[in-house]
Amino acid sequence: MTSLKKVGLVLAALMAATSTGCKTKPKNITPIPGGNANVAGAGSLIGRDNSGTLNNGGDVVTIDESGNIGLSDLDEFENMLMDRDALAAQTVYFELDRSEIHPDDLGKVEAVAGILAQDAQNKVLIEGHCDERGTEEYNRALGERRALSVRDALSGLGVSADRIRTMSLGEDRPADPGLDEAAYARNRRGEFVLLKPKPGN
Amino acid sequence: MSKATPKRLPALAGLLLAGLALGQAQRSIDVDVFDAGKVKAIPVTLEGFTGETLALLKFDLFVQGFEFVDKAKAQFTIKGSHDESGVSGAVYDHVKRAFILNKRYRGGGTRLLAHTFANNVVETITGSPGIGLTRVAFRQFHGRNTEIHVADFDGHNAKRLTLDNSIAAGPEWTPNNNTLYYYSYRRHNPDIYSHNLQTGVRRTVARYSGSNISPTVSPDGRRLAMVLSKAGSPDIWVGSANGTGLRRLTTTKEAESSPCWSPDGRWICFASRASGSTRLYKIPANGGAMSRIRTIGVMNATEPDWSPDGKAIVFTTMRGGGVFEVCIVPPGGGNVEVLATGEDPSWAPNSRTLMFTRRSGRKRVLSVLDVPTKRVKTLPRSFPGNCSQSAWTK
Repeated sequence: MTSLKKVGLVLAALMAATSTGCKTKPKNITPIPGGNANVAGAGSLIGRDNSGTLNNGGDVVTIDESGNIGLSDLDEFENMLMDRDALAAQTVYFELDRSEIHPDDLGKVEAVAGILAQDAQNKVLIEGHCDERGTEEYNRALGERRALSVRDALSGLGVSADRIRTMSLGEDRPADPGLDEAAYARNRRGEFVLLKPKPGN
Repeated sequence: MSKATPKRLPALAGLLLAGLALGQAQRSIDVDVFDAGKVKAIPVTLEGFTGETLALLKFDLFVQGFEFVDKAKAQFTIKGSHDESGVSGAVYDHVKRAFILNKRYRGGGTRLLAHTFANNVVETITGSPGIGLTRVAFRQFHGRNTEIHVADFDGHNAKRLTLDNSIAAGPEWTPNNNTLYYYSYRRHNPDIYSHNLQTGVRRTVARYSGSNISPTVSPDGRRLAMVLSKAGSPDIWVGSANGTGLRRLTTTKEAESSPCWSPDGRWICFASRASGSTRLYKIPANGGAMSRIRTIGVMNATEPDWSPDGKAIVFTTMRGGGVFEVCIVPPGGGNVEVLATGEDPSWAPNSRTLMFTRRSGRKRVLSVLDVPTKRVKTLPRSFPGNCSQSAWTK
């Protein structure tokens, strides 16, 4: 757990750096020699071994040259209670076929960060959703991209990346079953689910 | 007793073929899928068949480039009958003025016999293997949930494979057609599974944080391409068929989706937003740089499927407003031809026929398209729920 926290701190620092417009490779990360031998493009990664695979051990979080932050192991989120109501008011909405957070919604992300700051035991699941005007597999990937975009914003606000889980539901769980523009707008969304430790765990 | 037994016995065996092909198969008719809509259907007339057998033959032959005309205009007469002892079928060539096929089919059910006869008709007349005995896997909607189903390619003999009561989607066959890969949210995350249809054994292949979706098996059956987001973005990954030895192929910030293999196993084709809009790319399966496959005339290309003969890639273009079109492009890129309104095309093993999804409001139905003649038929067997994401056996 201590190593997790350490990585989280490093990440928070990194995100602060990248979110202020710094697009260059983080300087405090040492490239692993040979680590990119089998990978398209160049760049440095934490936790990548010489065969080009990423360490999924659960206590290593990775960042690649595109600024993508690797996800924590699913085991970190096992046996937690899902509270869908706690953060229901913070649902963020996206433009058609886009995954950037709308500036108007940044306050909601800040609110979620604030609630998470109140209890270090709590974590969060971000669900990414799409309207049905994309193909099914495209929407599944777009929903993930949306959830990750929200995750990156939360991370930039200091929420440790290992407390955030993402899940795309593509177009399979519309909030509004309608087939008009208003319904589509309500369906292109990111929902927050608060994850709490089960009592006794 | 002695009267009834012989009729039941053949069901245990495979097919008993009686009779002889009287003529030689014609040379393979060279049909170019890029001449879509310009190739004329082969005019035939059907005689003697009735009911289920007639309907089956008409569907099988229609989706492989035949049309049904009056005897006076027919190039071939396909005649025969079926009774309790099996199916008899023959093909008369009006140009050669001779029978070129004459067979009796016994054992198995009527549909199996009739599909086999349809295959023989296709092979005798065109020289290409028929698809009458192929199967498809697809995703069927049950209320909010979807499950994987398997059926004959015409939708008959459908069976539900999964009972996960969640979202199961994206089925793809292994080359030996005994195992399906798909993903399911049964453990509250989209995880990739392999599911052996003979043994019923299901294994978890990829279960990492984020998306584990769109699995597709290499032509040699030994490797798996898929979309994983565990590195922080939906990327194309390749690993062994059991999910070990993972290697990340794309490292973009944007989403990649829908990988498919080239038939020689050297390339993986996929859709990416790397350049701002969604386009087709290919990347060496062993790693390397991704390069664009130009689709001149269309934007927002997704869901590529590389034909088994390697000559063409079909894909879906998203026109905006929820309008999807099935398109075809050479693997090297170039001009695009629109084939039909619909999405998510999957090649039949004959590299000629496609199955795809047509949406209408809330409804999604599977349809079959004969590319050279550009004609579409909805699956003759209808399902209570919506269906999508069909995958043809190899």
